[in-house]
Amino acid sequence: MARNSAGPAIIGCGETTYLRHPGSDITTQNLLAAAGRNAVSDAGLALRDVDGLAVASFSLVPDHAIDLAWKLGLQLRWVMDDPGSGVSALNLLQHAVRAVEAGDANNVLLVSGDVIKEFQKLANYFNQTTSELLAPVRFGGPNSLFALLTQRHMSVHGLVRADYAQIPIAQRRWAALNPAAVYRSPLDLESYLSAPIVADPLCIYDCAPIVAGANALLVSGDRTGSRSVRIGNVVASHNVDGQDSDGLSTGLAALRDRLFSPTGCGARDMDVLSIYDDYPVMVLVQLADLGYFASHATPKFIRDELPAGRLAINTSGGQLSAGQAGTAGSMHGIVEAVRQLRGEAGARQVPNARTALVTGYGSVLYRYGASAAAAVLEAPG
Amino acid sequence: MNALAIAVCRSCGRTFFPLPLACRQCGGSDFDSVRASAGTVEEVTEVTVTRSRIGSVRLDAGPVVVAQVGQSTKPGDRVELVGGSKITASRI
Repeated sequence: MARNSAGPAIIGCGETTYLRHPGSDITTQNLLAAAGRNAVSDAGLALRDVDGLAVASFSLVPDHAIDLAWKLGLQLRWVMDDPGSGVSALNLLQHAVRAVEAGDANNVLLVSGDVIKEFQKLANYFNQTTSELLAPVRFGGPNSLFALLTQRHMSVHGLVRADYAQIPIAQRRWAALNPAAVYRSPLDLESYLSAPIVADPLCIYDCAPIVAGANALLVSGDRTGSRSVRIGNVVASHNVDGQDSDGLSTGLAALRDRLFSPTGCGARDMDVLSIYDDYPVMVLVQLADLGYFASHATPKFIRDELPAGRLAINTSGGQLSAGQAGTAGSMHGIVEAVRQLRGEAGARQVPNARTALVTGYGSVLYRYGASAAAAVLEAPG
Repeated sequence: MNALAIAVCRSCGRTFFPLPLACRQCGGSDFDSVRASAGTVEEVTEVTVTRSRIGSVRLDAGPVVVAQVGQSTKPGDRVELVGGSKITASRI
């Protein structure tokens, strides 16, 4: 991992408590501010040290990053807003790394999070195409689109619901070890198969539970601290196929060499994996794209390798058990990776975790996500 | 009730749904609106919260459209799509 070892590092991270049923006093700006303060203080800095701010949120509207800067009293040399999707945190990270490398800012605070009070309204107005073509047929949000996508995946690979169950069941085992996860009780196959259906074949355990929450990272050029997590590489892809394909692969498939080669590591060298898990099918798709198995070997991976637990996937419980705080979704995976790489993951600590892979996936423009991104992170020292 | 229309690039003939701003294949900016209502259902799901049945329909002309489908519609069915304020598929 030589090339980027001198580059910017993640020197602080923060996360608010995820709330499945937030009270009316919980606001997006307060959660973003709280997560941001946590990350700044975790880095051993004060708010006055922050000179760059990047924000991703659906629900901060009508405010933007500059409003948050004003209200937090930040004097900035660099500011960025992200429109918000499952790839937001990786977007912010990719830009923040370049900003620090270029000298535009030295201590960049990244915050993402949401309090979503009217989910159907948000889902129906995600973009113009959604409001014109999907809202009128009462699609009910992305669950139905990923139900259709999962059916395609089932048909191509000869899978059944019990196969997809292995993802939430494995993640729930991790969640039991994470006091911050919103769902921690064990999940077995029988409960999964008899759970209420959201959109056939997806049941409630296949859909990330919406929570109110926020996450934050501090990306800095001052990376000498003993808790600094190095950023090996970040890659992103957007709109690779114009929504004209089946959605059963992402832009990561074409990026995996570009992601890993500069780091000197391969996919199988990653000790911890935060794979964006809005739906189990997308975890499988991204793992195949990243080279963990050939796409045609998906059934074998699910039935042999996954139950053996050789890969540490979504060790917080992932969004499926810890909760999806809107745009904080992919930053949750980064925060978990940072904690693992610092050896601060408590009961769920992966022994001697040195490297981590984090992905983001989202921007469902019409039928599936148009954006996918990934980062390799390295332990301090 | 309007038959569903797709966009066909005037320069290279590539088909799109919905209408894009530029042709992904040749960069062209002019499109013809062409009736393309016949297609085949590929997947169907029922959305519990909205009680709506929706499906992916592959148009004979190429693009895949998300449409509201009838109670008995299933993958493999041939359908006729109607556009307008919402896209619905009826079995042929």
